[in-house]
Amino acid sequence: MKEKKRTLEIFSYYDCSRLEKHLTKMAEKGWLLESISSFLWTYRRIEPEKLTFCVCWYPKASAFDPEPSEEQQTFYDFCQHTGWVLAGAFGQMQVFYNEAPDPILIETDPVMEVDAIHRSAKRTFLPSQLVLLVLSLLNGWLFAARLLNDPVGVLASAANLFTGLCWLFIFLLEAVECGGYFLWHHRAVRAAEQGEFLEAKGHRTFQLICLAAVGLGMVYYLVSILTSEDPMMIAIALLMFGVYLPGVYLLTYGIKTFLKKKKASARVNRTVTILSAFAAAFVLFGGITWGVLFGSSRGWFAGEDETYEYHGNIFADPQDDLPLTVEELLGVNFDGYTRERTSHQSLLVAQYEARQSPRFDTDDYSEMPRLEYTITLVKASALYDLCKKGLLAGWEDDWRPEGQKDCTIPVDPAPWGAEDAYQLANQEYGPENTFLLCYKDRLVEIDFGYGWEVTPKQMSLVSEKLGNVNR
Amino acid sequence: MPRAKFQTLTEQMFYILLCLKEECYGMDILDRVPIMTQHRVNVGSGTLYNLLEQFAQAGMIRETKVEGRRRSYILTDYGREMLEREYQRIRAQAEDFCRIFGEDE
Repeated sequence: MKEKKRTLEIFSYYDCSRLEKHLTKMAEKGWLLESISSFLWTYRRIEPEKLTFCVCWYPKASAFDPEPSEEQQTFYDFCQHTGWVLAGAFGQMQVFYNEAPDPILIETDPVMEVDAIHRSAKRTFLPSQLVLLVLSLLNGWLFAARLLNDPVGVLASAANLFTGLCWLFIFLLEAVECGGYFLWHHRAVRAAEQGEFLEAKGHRTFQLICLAAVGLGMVYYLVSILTSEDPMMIAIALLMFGVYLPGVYLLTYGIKTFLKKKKASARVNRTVTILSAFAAAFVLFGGITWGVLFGSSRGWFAGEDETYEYHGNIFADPQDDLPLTVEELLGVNFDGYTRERTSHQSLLVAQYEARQSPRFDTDDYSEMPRLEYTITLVKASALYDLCKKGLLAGWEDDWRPEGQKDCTIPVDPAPWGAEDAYQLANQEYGPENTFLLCYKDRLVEIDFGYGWEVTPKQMSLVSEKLGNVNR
Repeated sequence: MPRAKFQTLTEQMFYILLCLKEECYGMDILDRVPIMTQHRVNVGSGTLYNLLEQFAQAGMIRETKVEGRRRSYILTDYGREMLEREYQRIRAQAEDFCRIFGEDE
């Protein structure tokens, strides 16, 4: 029979009464709290019994203390004198239980109780929650800015949507938690003046909903990455979730625990642990970035594609099936092409990119025509205009001085079989061989390269092959 | 508006200070207050721990002996003065009550 049980407890820090009731129920089921860590709470099996729990706060304690101080031990002695046994502690939070049926509470003065909670809050959860609130606001602002600048890039990426979702829910969680705490504290101070302790009402259901949404988002992100056709993205996702995040956590937790065992002071432990966390984050991130770039230059992510060497570097030579090829457009055959098709998508937008370009080691490299196109399939029709504007703005977003900038010219969409059509042009050099074609549910950017002009027949072929293609 | 600290004493503060008329271990106050008040007033261990610290900081009590983690305290003159003031306040309240209801009866 299992003697230990570890669970993730989700609650608002200041909602002590809910936690006390939960722990009482656990004891009635035969599980007594044994220890608390930053992540999991450990319970040990006992004979089911009715125990009274009390969650209180000792503001002078720290999660980095090697062991309880003399003063804290004195506090425990006082509690033990009235039958309260320490079940577990984490930083300032102290959890006691009492076997007596109707024990005298540890805190009998509401003013002092509210004050102890507030002093602890200011040292523990409030600073971290406020930092997260500011960070989530900052990231939300960056996400919104990216969404406006490059809507297709953001909306077609499961990773971008997942991180955006995470920051949104972190913002909501912290806003509700911090707001809830300050509101409770304001009311609790007034109630305490009248001799009453105001029980807090946490937001456990809301917290669970937010965490479930983030969890589902993560599953969706991982599934979409692992089922993608891009070995490099799969490798990055696996390294981030399998090495980076657990690595930073385990290293930080390990250093903190090691220093506690070595009886380092709380200040030394806190400083070293925080610096180690930053160092580990930078080193691991740098290592993963270097590893991916190194692997990419060695052709590790070429998948099943053939590779070739050119000037000491390994290049992939994919020969994917493309919905439209140079040969179909021009009616002639060339040797020495790579034909690459990539895709990335989210629930909202999918992007399929196709590129037909000569291999670097081809003799006629500079003479051979190229073809490159991107099909943006807008699954949520409400986002169509945003995506279209985003793509046009991407063309016109030019740092060059007036007179040399890129711009877009509306052209006749009829030959393309499209609803709207635009051609990329440069203010100095005139129209280029690049078009944006707007079909009912998709936007096609197509670049025919240099050296040939598109005929009406070829335009019609583009419409037939790309205007209705699903992939 | 919050009350100024110790301007008036709560029942628990009053009886803790009363216990410290004579030198006493902090922890023993937990037993003495209920006995002194026929179990009408109880002081929680956390509340007592914090109040002893605050009384000492305010100069109302002073530490007299430390034996391991056991510390004993005694009331200071200032503490006695605060206790006296609280007593006068309670007495005045009682007199007001008697004057008003005593006249009615």
